[in-house]
Amino acid sequence: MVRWVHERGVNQFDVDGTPLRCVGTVQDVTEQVETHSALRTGHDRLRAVLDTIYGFVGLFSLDGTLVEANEAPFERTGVRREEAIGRMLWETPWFNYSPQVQKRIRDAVNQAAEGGSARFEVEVPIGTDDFMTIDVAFEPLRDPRGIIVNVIGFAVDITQRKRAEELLRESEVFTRTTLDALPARIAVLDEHGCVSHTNRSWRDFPAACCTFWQAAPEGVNYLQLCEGASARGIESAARLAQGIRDVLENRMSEFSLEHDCQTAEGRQWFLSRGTRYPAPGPTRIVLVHADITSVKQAEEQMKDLRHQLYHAARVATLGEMAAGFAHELNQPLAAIRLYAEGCAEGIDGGALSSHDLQERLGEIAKLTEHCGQVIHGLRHFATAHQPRREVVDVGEVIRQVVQFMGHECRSSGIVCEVELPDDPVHVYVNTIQIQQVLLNLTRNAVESIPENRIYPGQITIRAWVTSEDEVAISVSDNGQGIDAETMKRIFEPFFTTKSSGLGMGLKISQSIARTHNGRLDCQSDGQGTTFAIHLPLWEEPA
Amino acid sequence: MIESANPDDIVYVVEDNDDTRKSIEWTLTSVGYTVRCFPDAPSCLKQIDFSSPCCAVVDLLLPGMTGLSLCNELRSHEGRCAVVMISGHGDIESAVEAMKQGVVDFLEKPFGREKLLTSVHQAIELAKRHYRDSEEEAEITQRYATLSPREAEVFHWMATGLVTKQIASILGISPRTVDVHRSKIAQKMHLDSPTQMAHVLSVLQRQRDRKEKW
Repeated sequence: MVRWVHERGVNQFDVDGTPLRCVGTVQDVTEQVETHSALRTGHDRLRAVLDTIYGFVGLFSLDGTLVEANEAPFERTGVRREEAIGRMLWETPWFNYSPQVQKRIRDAVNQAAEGGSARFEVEVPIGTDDFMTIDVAFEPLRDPRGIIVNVIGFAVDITQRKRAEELLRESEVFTRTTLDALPARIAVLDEHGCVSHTNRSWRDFPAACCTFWQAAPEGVNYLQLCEGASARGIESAARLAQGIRDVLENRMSEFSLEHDCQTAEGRQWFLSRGTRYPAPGPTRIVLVHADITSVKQAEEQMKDLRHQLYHAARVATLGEMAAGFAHELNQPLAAIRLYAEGCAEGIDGGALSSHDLQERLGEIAKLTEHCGQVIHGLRHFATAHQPRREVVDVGEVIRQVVQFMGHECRSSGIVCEVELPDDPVHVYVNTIQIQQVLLNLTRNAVESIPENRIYPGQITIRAWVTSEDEVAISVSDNGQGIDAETMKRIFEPFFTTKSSGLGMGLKISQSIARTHNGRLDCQSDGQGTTFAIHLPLWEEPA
Repeated sequence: MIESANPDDIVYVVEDNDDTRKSIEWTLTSVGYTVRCFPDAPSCLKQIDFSSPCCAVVDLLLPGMTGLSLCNELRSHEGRCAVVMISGHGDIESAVEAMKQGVVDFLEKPFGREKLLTSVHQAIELAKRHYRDSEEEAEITQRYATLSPREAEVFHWMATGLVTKQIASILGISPRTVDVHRSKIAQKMHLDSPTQMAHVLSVLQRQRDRKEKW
């Protein structure tokens, strides 16, 4: 057992200054020493605890001088202890970067010194080029009697949290702005089909447009709206309602449909798409209505342009074949004239029997019919409108082409042979366009056979069924063939080896084949060239 | 206007278009011609009879062998077949070429009945004349061949227009001998009058010209 004593000796003197005696006292101070030691230990421990926490703790005198602080603020900011201790807090490197901040800190400390408290967020520099955001609070520190003796300050680094919050806010703003900027109308429907979120386009959607999705603000049951419109006979609303129900009832994860409607601005086209909302909880659906009118119009325009191009090419072909048509018409006309004049004379001279006369007149009628057919074919071929597709026998298509081309072949001394299947082969095509392709191929064939040849020129047009669902029509010649280099480019637009011509013939032919779900291919060697158009066979609807 | 034709006159029609061919056939038959029709050149060449004068109505554009080639082929038979060319559209180039080939006429469809009949008639007449001329030529040539060398010599000088005395002086014989030759020549060449002499000479000249030309 150790005890602590306090020893004290006092010398006593008389009036003359002569020492009289020495009085010594020994006081047992064990209790006092132990108490003091315990206090010290407590203080050190507290210090240690304060130094280990991440938060910043500071003790200030009432005038704002920093008396003591834990290690954290120094470690975190790089400010040295001697730069801060003993200074007014607002004079320290933590806050002296801005008079406004300094004032704010001084006011807060003063407020605490007067018994109030203050808490706010403020920036503190780290090193030379970075800042952290702290959440700082000042409180008065009172002694047991309740008198304010110090101000205590706490602060926490909230930079991370601040950044996360900012990012989140930015992301939200981004999403919101983006969604609002989109021309597509977007809404989220809850499990009942009620509108829960919308973007600006959805909200701004003119009520005048469609009867069934007119003004559906948040909270309105959109599914019911569509079903109501569907009941009024609006077919696209019915399809939309069905799509929404399919997704909400988990039969499908998404749907997509195109529909049109008549508005004050004319016919408008929409693409509506519904996608299951990928979040936990009850099934929801993201609904998007995109205005695809311009796309549709562009498509229509493309189609129009394509047909105009086809037509222009046909007219050009006709022009080049005018001699052929004239010849085709001249034949029956020549016969008609001879018969008519012969009959007139025969009647006059009475040399013609009425039977013979009748026969000649019948012949004339038959010939005019033939003329009519030629003219009809011509007009049909030159016509600008787009006749619908029809079911035709390929033989019929080919025969007319041969009629058109007969003269051109003959005048070049070329024999044109046709090989057709025994039975009719039906295709569902735009006859004129297919004839245009065949005419084009046949004319190319005629031109490929050299004029100063030493062998007989021949063109063969052949049709045969290649598989159970395809027929091919080929045009072969025994001309000079196409070299490998040219072959690579024959389907390029505006590529031509002829001195005249636009170079669009084969391109257009290929495009026509493709619009019929077919294809155009070519084989060539020194012995000649074969082009073949492959077309799907017409299938009798079951 | 040709009202009727001789059935001995044969017209060959070479035309690939059925309608046109039939109408031409009918027209020509109606006035009395004998008509033979062919859809192409080779079948016509196979059947045509060059032993008598005839006419061919040929389409310019025929499959295989063209009308112009056929025309060329027909012409090689001493003009016994006169050609009338017909065409669906007569471009100047082929018309000129056809005329060079010696066709009688070039008709553009649709041609009239009268035009056709006139052309065919002219062609037949031409062919007949050619025929007659060539017959006559053959006869005169044959007669000429019977002359002795001396007679031929005398004939040559007669042809240049010399009288007996001049010929006798050139040949160094008596005028009397020349007269003997002359009467022999007249007998052999069937020369009754100075007019006939001129005709024989022109035929011989024509023949010589043609030989030079061909």
